[in-house]
Amino acid sequence: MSQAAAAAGTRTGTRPAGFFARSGGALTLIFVGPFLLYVSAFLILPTLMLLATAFSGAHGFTWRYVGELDQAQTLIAFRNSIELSATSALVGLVIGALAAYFVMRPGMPRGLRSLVTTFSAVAANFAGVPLAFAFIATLGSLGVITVWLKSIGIDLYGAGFRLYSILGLVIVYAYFQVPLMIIVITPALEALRKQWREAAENLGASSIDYWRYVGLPILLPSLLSAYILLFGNAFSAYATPYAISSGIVALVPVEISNVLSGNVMLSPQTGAALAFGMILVMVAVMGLYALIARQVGRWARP
Amino acid sequence: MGYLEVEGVAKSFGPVKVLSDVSLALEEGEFVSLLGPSGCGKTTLLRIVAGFEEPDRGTVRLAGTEITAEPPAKRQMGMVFQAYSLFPNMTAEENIRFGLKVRRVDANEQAERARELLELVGLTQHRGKYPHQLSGGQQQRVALARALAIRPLALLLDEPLSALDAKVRVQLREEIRRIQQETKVTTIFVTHDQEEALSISDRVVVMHQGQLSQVGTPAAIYGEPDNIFVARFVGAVAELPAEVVDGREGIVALFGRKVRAARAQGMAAGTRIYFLLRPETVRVGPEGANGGLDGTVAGRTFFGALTSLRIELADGHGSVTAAMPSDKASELAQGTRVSVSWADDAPRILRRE
Amino acid sequence: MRKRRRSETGPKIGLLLIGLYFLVPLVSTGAFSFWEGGNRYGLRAYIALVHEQQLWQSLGLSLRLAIETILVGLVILVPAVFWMNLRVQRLRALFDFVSVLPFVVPPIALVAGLTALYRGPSWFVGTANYLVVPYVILALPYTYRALEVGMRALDLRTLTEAAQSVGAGWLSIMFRVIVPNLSTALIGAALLTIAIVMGEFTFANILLFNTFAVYINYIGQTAATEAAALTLLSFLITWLAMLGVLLTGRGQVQIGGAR
Repeated sequence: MSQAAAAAGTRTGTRPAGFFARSGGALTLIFVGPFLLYVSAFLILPTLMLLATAFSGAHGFTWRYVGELDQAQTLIAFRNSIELSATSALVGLVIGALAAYFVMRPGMPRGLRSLVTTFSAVAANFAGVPLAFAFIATLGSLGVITVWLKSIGIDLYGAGFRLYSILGLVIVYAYFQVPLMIIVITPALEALRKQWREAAENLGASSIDYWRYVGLPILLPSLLSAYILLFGNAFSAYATPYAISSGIVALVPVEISNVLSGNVMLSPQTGAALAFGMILVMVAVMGLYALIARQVGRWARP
Repeated sequence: MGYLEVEGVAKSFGPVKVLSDVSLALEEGEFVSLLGPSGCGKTTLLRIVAGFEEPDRGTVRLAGTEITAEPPAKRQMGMVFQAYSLFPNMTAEENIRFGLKVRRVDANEQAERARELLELVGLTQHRGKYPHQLSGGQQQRVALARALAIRPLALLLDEPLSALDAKVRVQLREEIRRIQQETKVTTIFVTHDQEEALSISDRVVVMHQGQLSQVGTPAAIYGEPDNIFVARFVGAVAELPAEVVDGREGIVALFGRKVRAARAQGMAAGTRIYFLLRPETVRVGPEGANGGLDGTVAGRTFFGALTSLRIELADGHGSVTAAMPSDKASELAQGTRVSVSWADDAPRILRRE
Repeated sequence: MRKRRRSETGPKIGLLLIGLYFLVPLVSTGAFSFWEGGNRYGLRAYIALVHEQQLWQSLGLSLRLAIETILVGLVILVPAVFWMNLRVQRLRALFDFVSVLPFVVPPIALVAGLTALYRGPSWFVGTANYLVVPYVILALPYTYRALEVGMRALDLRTLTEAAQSVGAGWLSIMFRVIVPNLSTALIGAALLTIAIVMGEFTFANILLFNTFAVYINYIGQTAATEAAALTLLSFLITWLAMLGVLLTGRGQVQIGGAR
């Protein structure tokens, strides 16, 4: 990704002048101009502004605020955010892939598939504050399941469980991660040809051999990109943890919002540095992805 | 007792009966084609032999052992699918080695076997390529090599040429025959293309509606069809309704005239029959020639060396196709009135229900 | 002889458990929304909500923002994607890159950047309409994808040349030829945008505008049963939007949402 970004970046820089002139410049400006202008003004410039803010102190350029990212509180927030995102992405990946695979098995009731597709679309889009409340009503300290479990002798909160913990948030995030996984992995599962399985069986492969040498390697690029998608999805989640934990679990987005809303006595530069850090993590994750994808997707390239 | 035997096999998918009571035996090293239109059950029969489908009734035996209940992975049969069955994440060589790898065969032996097979199918210099970098014909060669790598007791080919271009198809089918003869592997070849089946098989099995319509050598299937379905499906044929007049002499009544037909001998007088003429046995002469049926050239199709003429018989008696060298046919323009005749022993005779 | 019939019991139990996980929170929330304290259950929360002025205001605001977002997004994207596909294919890499950017820059980071960059004028940043600015960016990847797929399926060149040959100008080509042919893609993108905007919390909460999601959060601090009722309502809205997407998109599922 980082390479693609760099390449696309240079293209933006060098292309327009000569390019617009070549293909009826005025019309191209009219059609494409507003879009590029909008994106520049409201997406690219603000991002650059973050950068500038993060690095500027009262007397010009400074490392101070970015340097402050290694403070204990900030490090905990980043560690929590990354841990939560990585874990919930893994949970979503495994359960979502299994669910999608189970649904596609022959012998499953008719209509199950379209039910799962529709529900996944809804659940993947149902997140934020309402989702937080649904889980507070379910697994909060007075939630339906918590109370019911207590009545049969299992005291969740007595045993140390909290909805506003990393574990609790993983359970909540699964509600949008699993359906998202089902949506993105189903086409890849459908693309596994029946002939591959039969050819493998015919050649003497057991089911395990098939998955180990054929099925999983073919799925691997899709699984990887799904994992990245799920990671980013969880990493940038703000509304859900905000409504559930009210800041008890330190997560980067919640920290940034505290700075922005003036809830804590921190300079705007610190907020910008935090946001810059988030973008850095995303870029790093996608760069790593690009590297691995290049390796595992070798066979698919011409 | 055959080497590969299918006995009394029946199979239905829900209410649809796909195979009913099919029995077939192959000799060791024999090349047998299953030929038939789509939906005749030929692929299902092959998949039952391979173990991908379970027959409702009947047994499959290989080298004297019943394998009806064996899973595909245990049958030691190599199968080549229609298309796109190569593992896309493996190179040509890795594909060929797959069957040995899952058998935990020693790596050196795998490499040696892969080298032999790549050579056999002529792809040595492509061994490092991934399937999507190979042409359709090359992919099927790799698939063939992969199936042979495990030294299969039988080779099963499921329409392996149907997704290829006409030219590659002919080339590859000859190669399949050559390789089969070199390796002497017992082979079942499923196809809907009669030319393919006739050109490479020791025996051809014509299938129709889940049953074996006729089993025989290519020459017998073409020359001596047992029934009207086989006659129609294999090669072009003109079918004229007729009736036996004298079974002892072999005289039949064709459109009100008495005609000699050697193959009608021994049939009871009054038997309703089809009088079948293959295009290459039809002679075309000038109108009114002795003993011929009158007609008009109604259509011409040029095939290079040969030209096929469709001759509309007089009085609405249907049409006959004649194949003749193109230089001879050039004299017979559309609309020319001609007469059609044949040698006494040329027509095939089949009972008409 | 009967053999190898793989049992589907394992997968069925697996799916059942996963299904339970998804069903229980909804049922719990539903049960909770009818709770009136003690052992009494009824519609009190719902009745209270109907009389809640602020709810209707926030719901109205979110709906208005959704419509504005759809309009602004389409106005800037339809011509751009159309022209890119027709004339400047070489901008495709740039477009593709820009359309994944909102994914790399989390909403919370974008809102930080926006507040740092734009502090006025107040007619711009001071009204709730300001939210449309980031919402268009949020919806960008999905709208772009939908338009891109829709336009690729059309033979733009032939359509355009046919229209030009009968004397149509660029404007009438856009509105009379391209847009009607893209209706499916456009409706899909619009419904998805509705789902995104109706649930969006990050921007609204930090920029201090009282949208539907912000209102649910506010109610949640004071009246838990009413919050549960609103949660169900919100789920219903998402369900309707997705059903619309699925029905218009011939089963094509899309994803967006505000986490």
